[in-house]
Amino acid sequence: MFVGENLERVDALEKVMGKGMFAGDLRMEGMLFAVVLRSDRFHARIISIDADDALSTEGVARIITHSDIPGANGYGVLKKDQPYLAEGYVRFFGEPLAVIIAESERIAREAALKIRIIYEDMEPLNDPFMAAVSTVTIHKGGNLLCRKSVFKGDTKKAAADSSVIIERTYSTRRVDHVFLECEAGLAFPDTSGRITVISSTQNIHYKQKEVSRLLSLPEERIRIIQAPTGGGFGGKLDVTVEGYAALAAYLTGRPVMVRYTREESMLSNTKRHPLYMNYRTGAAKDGRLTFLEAKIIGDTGAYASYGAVVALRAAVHATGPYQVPNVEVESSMYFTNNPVCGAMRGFGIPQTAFAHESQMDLLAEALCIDPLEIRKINALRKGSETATGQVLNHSVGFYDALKCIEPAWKERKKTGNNGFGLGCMFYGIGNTGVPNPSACHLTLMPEGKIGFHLGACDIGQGSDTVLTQILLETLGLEKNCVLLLKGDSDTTRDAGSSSASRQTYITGKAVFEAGSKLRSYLEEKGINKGRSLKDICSAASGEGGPIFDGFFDPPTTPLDPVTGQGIPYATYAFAAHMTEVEVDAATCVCRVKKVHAAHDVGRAINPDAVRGQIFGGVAMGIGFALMEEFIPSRSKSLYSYYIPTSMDMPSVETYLVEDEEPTGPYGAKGVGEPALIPQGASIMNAIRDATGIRGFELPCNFERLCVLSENNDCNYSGSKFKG
Amino acid sequence: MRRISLQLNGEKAEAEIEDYSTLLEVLREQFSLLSVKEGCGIGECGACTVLLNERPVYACLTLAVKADGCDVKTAEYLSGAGSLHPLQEAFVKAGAVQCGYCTPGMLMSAYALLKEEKTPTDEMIREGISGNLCRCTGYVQIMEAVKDAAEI
Amino acid sequence: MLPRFRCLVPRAKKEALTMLRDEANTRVLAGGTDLLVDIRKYTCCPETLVDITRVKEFGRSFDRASGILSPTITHAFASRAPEIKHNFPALSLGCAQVGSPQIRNTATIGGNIANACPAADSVPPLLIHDARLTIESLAGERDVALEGFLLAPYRSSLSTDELITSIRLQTLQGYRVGLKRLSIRAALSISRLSVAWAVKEEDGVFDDVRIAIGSCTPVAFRAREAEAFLKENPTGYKAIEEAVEMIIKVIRKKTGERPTHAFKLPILRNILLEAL
Repeated sequence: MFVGENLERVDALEKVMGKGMFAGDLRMEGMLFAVVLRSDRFHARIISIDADDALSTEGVARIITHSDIPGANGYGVLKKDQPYLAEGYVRFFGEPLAVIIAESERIAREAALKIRIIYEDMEPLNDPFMAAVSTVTIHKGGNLLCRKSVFKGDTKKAAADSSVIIERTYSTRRVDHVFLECEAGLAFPDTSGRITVISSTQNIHYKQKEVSRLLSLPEERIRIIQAPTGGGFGGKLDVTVEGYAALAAYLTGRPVMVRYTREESMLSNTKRHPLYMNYRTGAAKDGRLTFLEAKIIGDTGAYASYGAVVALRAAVHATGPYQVPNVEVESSMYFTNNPVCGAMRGFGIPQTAFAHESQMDLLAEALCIDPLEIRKINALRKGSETATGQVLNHSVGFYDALKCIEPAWKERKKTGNNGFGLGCMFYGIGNTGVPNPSACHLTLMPEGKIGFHLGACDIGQGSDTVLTQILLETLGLEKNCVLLLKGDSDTTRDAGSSSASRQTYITGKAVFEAGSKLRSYLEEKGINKGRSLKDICSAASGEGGPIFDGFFDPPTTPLDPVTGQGIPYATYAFAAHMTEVEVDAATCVCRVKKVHAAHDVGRAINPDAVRGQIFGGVAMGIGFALMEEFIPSRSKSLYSYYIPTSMDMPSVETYLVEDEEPTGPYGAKGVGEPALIPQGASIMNAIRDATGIRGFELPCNFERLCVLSENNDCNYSGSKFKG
Repeated sequence: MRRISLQLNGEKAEAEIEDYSTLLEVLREQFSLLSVKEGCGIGECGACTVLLNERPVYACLTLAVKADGCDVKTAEYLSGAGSLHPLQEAFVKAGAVQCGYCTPGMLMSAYALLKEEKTPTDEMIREGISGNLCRCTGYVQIMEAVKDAAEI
Repeated sequence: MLPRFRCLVPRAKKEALTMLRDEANTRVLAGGTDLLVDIRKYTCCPETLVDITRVKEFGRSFDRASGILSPTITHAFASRAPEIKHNFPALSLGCAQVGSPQIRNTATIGGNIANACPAADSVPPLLIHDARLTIESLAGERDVALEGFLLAPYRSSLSTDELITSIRLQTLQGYRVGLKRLSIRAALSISRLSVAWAVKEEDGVFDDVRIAIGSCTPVAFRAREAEAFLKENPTGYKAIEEAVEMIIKVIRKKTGERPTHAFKLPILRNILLEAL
């Protein structure tokens, strides 16, 4: 038995020994180092780039600008609009301008300082509201990237029939991923003219396509290998160092390393979108939600990246995990001259959860209903219909998750300056209303092992281990029978990105499919009748070596472009968090004391790994709610951008609900993003409980909280906070 | 260039260094001790934590000159004898490793703590690793592992 | 990666002072936790560093008889050494809250003073202990109070050929000593406001009150006026409230109106009311 067991991570041993060969650890004979020079202007025309001094520096091999690119100078997952190197124009502080390639990192960095750039500054657009009305346009098509909507029922009529309506506006700030390992990659050409890139990444097959476009080489001439990856959280989905390393290796014919410093990482990496969310929610006297009208406006920064995905996900999930019969959501993304915002754990839902969970508490307050009760009344359950008109027929464990935390909620005790808050969420697993298949294959190796060819990228979340568990369970074989051959575009099939909490569910199902085929084959060949695996394997290699492939694409339908109706996801994860905070009355400093986190994961393939995701999500949620705020040109490194330390972490109680998903492997769904999503919201509700103050802007650090408490006119009494 | 000599992971070592070389650079580039990771270069993340005379310091904020005549230990030291140190075992068992980039530095902070305090309280553990950032684990299983190792 | 510089490692005080006099564009390197970060950021570009941590005269970190501290004692030492805990409780309390174990093991008290950062963590507690500094150059020696030594953010009266060679503190016994340090997160963070206090009360009268405030004005300061007022008046909410308003007035005078006052002043008021 492997499913449900706490199998030790397959890579834990090398990592505790410090042997994890991350991309930045790689060395190669004759290796050059490349540095990317970036703009320190928000919006400007480039008049000239003078690299003569830099180029004549001893040890500098070459300096590349956009005109050296053999293929297409543009990348992006949905829209190829982001230049690798600026063509006469910069759209954000950090836009790449040139690549300096030298014999060593020091020479490259010192030479980069000698490059002189003359700009002609242009009016920068710093926020989406300005971008919406300005005559200045950042891209040819205008400043609106996209507008997504979800319409259902009649909100106007429902509003007239509601006994209470709450309208508030919420906003969040830019957040950096701060994976501990900054982006790094090594590229090298081989004698056949192929280019190999070994990098820190969340998706090898996507990167293969992008590098192929960049170099104008066929995809089969590009090989991408994933190095052990020190965290991703969505920040290593877009092309990072891969393009520059590949370009430099291609143009110099030598191996080239690109390794970002933290400063470069923060300057270049995509961010979590700041969203402005106007919510108008109605409820009947008994607490049932009657309607939601939401207008969401996002700042997507200078290029498209995953902006449209975030806009769509925010719209589809705007209601939260509740039945709302009448819905009108409009979600827009605008280009600005801010850093590119892209994918980050949760794709817009941690932001909307802050809004819908605050609204739930405000409604509960107005109706004098207990916050947990109002959530139970409205909870999505079997047979419920979502905002997109999808009827949920299975694996809807939200009500059970609420029941898990109910005892703690009922026993909560107010003492001094503490407070308790709830935060809930649902999250569609996989990409939204589009095919997002995964494939893998198994081979029989002459040495007597199963070759497990896996294209999914383990970025720390533990997919290698969990997917191995699924395979072993399916095969019914021992652990040492399987050899994991992973993360190499040459030897694996496209498993899609490690994003959208999709690997356990989608790739897991593909692994199950492949494993089932192999199991039948092994049974047919007599594995249960005393024939050894080694024997079957060696016989198989004589027969040309059969391949057992697995494939899964979750059943979804595209969403109607006007109404947003359809089946965007095959399954959803659900969660409820309860958080206790303590807020110092004198200083407004908020400490998170305790979190109860209940998650419907379908099936926990590896409960310890699931717990690990939840703990990490809680930490990131604390950062999101209380401290993280990326300010362009000012948040330069980890001294001016804070993420939680061990001292900021509460104790966390986890509850796993296993309402099995019939289309998932052994019933599993996903947990990577769900772990984070409700946490920030629950902290904000707990702060309100502790202080009487409701924050509408994140992060709610002690400074903002103090200003709020000074200006607060709420009717709360019972603590030293002003009322 | 200048020559320094140090006691490195229990053995005598010498290195030719530049005045501006950090201990992080020298350990990685001259001694190939790749467990010493750079995460920020400014003493804010702890991925490069090593022991200098048995006390945890940031190798990125320590000039190599300062290690002259000192004892330096990196995570490679822990399993130097060929078998895992109890702390490493506890990290594996407790699920304290996710992406693994913070792990070596985290181990060194924990090691220094357990050297000084055989049975640390939860608060001491929290404090002991407070100079090491981790973005994956939320620190919970790391703290569990340190506690487990202390109890061995 | 750091830009290039030379690093000299003198073994004796005189050698160090000679280097500081003779070399151009030097900076003194002690722990380096601030200096090396500034160098990496190019906010400071010295040609030569003089590492004073191996100066033999600074080897003896604490002299029990005279209460003299070596400038190169680390924050970790100051927070842990029993004799410092006993005699200089505000200092050891303050040093225990700095940065992280790694920073505390490296950063020195002398470096913290000389860097003259408005958010320097050891400064308010040192002010509470009426710290005095011995400053030496080859030309001679002078003795200054820490209070007048700090001039402006990152600027002190230390000239480039001088070294802080010892720190003398007044012991505080029988005092109620406290420190509140506010930051965005619980560890590894710059203080956004810090208040240190030491109070001796008897029979409803303040025998002595000392209040020092950091991270609020360009230079951390002792609230002398309010201290004197409190000593002259019987303890009680009204006197304390008045003293706090005096302090706030002083801050407004020192800084003018600032947006950060919106949170700093109310919090400071609360902390002081609670502390006193």
